[in-house]
Amino acid sequence: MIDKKDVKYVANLAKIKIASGQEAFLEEQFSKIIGYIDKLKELNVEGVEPSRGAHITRDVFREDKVVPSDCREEILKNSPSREGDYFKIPKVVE
Amino acid sequence: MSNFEIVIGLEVHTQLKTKSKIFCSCSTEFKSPPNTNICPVCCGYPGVLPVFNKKVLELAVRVSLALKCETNKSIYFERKNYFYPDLPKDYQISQYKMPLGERGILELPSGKKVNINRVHMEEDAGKLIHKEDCSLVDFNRTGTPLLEIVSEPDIRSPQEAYDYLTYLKLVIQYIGSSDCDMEKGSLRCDANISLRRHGDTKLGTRVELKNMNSFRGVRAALEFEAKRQAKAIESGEKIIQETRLWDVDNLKTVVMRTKEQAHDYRYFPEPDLLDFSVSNELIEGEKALVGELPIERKERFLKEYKINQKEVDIILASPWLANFFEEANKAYPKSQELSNWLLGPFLEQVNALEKGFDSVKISTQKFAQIVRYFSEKKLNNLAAKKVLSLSIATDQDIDGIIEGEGLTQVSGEDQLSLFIEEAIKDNPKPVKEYLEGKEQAIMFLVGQVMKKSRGNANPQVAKDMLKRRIEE
Repeated sequence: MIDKKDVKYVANLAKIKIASGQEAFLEEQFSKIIGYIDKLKELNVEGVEPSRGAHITRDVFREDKVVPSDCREEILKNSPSREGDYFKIPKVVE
Repeated sequence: MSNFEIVIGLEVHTQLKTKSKIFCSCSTEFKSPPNTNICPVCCGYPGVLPVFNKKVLELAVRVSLALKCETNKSIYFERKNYFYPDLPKDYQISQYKMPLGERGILELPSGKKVNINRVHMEEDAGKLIHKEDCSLVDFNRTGTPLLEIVSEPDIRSPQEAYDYLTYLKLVIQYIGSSDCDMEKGSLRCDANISLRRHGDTKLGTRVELKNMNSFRGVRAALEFEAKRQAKAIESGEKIIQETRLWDVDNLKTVVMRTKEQAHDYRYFPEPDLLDFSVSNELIEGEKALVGELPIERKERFLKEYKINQKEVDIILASPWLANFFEEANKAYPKSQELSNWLLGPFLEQVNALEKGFDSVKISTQKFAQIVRYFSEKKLNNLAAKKVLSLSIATDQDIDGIIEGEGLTQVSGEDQLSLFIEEAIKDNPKPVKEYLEGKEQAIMFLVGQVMKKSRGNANPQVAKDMLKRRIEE
């Protein structure tokens, strides 16, 4: 089952800070969700083709055609910080 | 070093040659100013839907077939989740459980066979520019279609890795799926390398190498890393599974400073995209376009054109040159003569052109015509080169150039005989000496003829004619 370590691990992956005292609450919620999935595992699915959804269509393609979006300025405007036509961000180190 | 066997596997990312991105209609033009080719889809805005570019599937299937992979008939995309500023959606749409192709093989010209683990399609991330106090982001490249080609750890030396990359690039260029231009970023390579004692069957701990900007860089990084690992093992150190970056300035590998090295990408099926069928029709169509692989073409060239292996290798190293050579052969089936001119004066002149092959305008027929004129002694070496230089980037009419430049008059025997008469008349002494048996004297007369013709005479023809005339 889920313990505190798992909660911390997932929070770290999602880059979310968890307020102290919330861990127990989240641990309980996580456990419920996993428990629900575990219940589904009890079903007998022998002979049922695996599927990833109830799609009735497939093969939706587009042709290789360029259509300029013309929304560069609008997208750049949403940046908290820019330098020329670049998005400016705090320095990241590889 | 010789105590160990080197085990290498390569991951190649190649940009598939499309006009638009993989899931939106933005251009893939790499020279555009920063953040020109961006839209709500590739920038990961809420509420948008990606739509798959059919051309990407076609070009990817072509590579899968060329690498003799088992191509899956039904595929889907998954989300690879991680945070990095060059990835606006915080996930990359990629393939995981059901890649496009699996279990392929690439046979190198040396005969070495490298197994291919998988090929899968994915979208590229953006570009980061690091400055003193900040980083800048350009999303032009975000969503550019990539094909990742993963080899099995079958490669046994840095040189073999280099050979594999060179041949893989050639194959992909040949079938037209990618430009494979490392400078433009349309081909990138990461490497995994480990060592083990000879005879061991278990693989050693592997290190992933990144940040190599050329095939030579890949080879150099692997050479360095093999030595580093051998030294470490010999002195009892344990190899740590890590990612190291090739430092091209200091010619060494350094540990990557990322906090999260052991990634947990939490793949799951991309719910915004449906499944895709790889139909038999599509496969058959692409199979026809794969055609002849370079290695098969080489065998045919050797047999059909009877030129030596070195020449074939140079011609085949460039698909452009190979096609040009084949076409020229149709116009003038003297392969050896064509090859001499193609690899000699032609390449020399192409190299001097600003855009190389892209600047060449001359048709294969006209090129063949020049070679034929040279062979028929209508043009001497110098004149033929001149005609070539005037027509190579213009495709002008060959006879027109010869006429216009006055090259034909001195090449014909009629005009030559005039100069020969003059040379004999003006130089009785050498003529006498030649008649007395001094063979060398003829060369002085040839020189005189060459001078009169301003270098346009064919020296061999002039020599023959002089001899004939004097001995009459």
